[in-house]
Amino acid sequence: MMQQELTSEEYAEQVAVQLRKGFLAYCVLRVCSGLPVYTSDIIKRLSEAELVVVEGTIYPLLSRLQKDGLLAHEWQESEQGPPRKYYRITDFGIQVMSHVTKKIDTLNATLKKL
Amino acid sequence: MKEITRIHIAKVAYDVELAAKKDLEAYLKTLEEYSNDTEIIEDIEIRITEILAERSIKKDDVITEVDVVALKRQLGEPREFMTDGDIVVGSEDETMITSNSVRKLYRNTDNALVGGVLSGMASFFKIDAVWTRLAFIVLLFASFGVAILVYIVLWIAVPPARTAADKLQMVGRAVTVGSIRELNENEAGRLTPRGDVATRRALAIVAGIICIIGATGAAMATAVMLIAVIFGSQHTI
Repeated sequence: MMQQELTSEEYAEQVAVQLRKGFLAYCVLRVCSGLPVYTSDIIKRLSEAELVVVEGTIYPLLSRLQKDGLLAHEWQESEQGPPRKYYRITDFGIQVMSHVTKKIDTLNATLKKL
Repeated sequence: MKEITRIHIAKVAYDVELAAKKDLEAYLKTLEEYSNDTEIIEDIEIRITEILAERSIKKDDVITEVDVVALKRQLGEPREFMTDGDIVVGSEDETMITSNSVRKLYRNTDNALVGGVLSGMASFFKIDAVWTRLAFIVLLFASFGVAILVYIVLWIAVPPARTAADKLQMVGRAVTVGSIRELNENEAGRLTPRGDVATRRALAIVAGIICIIGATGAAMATAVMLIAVIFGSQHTI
């Protein structure tokens, strides 16, 4: 049941929100799969890759991925200011990431067939 | 000339327009309502200092309202990103913000007559605040007013239930995105137990008045006794 009239753009945005769920977590895992990355650099990499979300989103997500054991953080000295928190992927995170990669491949294959 | 004051963000001191400070503090407070994970808040504060630096605002420079608006736009509204929105991993509504649903002792400032100590204790023991208050009155007389000292110590020592997470833990509920949303949607912003609110309120007020009269009486009695003892000892010397 429609509660209020949505424009096609608003409707598409709602669908996009559904599509992004989980996808963002996967992107963060990818960004952290190389050298340890500083939080703000994760944000930078994601925005450079044109993944449009507000920056705040990243913080609860990192916290969650860390609690679930997919990411770990370490402190590194910085040239200016206090030490910074750097994130890297764990072995468990790598396993999860490779499974999700396969699932995304499947989704892409489906799209190509339709 | 706009009024300027000081603010500390992630241990960095800035000058700030008064209105901008209020705005920024309200923003940080909302963040805290969604999560009592201090790490998230600290990391976001660090990010705020970086965004300010990108806007060429360093330590001791002035933060304006325009800066705060831009900041909020870049970070987003807590309501958007602290709830499920884009981040969902794991099961949806039961995304735990803190994993423990243990009942914790807080001062219930929403239902407080004085400091909320007894109301908080009632929540802790799952009983109505009337009972802890009555018990306190009895104790007050039985202990010749010493209970008032205990009350003051608890008032200082027990933290108030400030954030949504605190309020949920006070009544022993798991802190989840779902339960916080429920709490925020509750108009009064408090978890009221069932029962006739008017009667409970009246009872609470009566109990409170007795409490205060009792406390003053007991304190005065103690004071009189103390003076008597001091005077008495001086006389004997």
